[in-house]
Amino acid sequence: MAGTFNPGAIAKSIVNYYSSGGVQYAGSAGIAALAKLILSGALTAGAYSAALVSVSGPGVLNLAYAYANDATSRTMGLKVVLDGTTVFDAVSDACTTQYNGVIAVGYNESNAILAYQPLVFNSTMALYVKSSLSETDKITLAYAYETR
Amino acid sequence: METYEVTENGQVYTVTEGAFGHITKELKMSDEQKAILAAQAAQAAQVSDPLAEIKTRLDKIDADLAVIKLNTKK
Repeated sequence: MAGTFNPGAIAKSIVNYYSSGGVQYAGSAGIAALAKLILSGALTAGAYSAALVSVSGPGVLNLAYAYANDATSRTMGLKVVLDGTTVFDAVSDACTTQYNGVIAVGYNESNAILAYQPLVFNSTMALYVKSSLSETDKITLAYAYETR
Repeated sequence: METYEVTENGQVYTVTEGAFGHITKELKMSDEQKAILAAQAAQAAQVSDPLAEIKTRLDKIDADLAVIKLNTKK
């Protein structure tokens, strides 16, 4: 179809260390050179935010992770929706370390570099975060995508 | 390309309509929020210097060499 990026099958699920409650170093801005960072804004305990980032149109999601901005104990959730399918929806174990969190898309290398894990989407992409606490800007969402 | 802002549920988003039909919407960061992120970047740059360990070892080698030279002169 003209104008549609269609290199192959679209991801239907992402399974990795973080998809079943794992939590560990997910990045500080040492990897910000690869990712765009935004704070979560206001979150209500246990509820996903409205999409912090969304794209309408074809593209590739290369990175998506979330981390805590302080050491307050909390769990964090990260949800990735591609073409209307929730491909990643995981809540971390209790996190008590700044910069620890959840990586949905990408690979952590040497705690300093995050490698791209390109996931294509044909029509839409959206990213959501949540916290076990009602709080504002205590979680950073990091991501990298390209439109095609 | 057209960029504008929308407010939904008290949050401000930046919407960009691209030349190829894409529409992106991202939570807009205030100057205060940008400052928080910039501080993270500065902090991380310090802790994630990939040459830090090598620099430390070189400093130790320099110190050891100084001791060796001193002992040699004796």
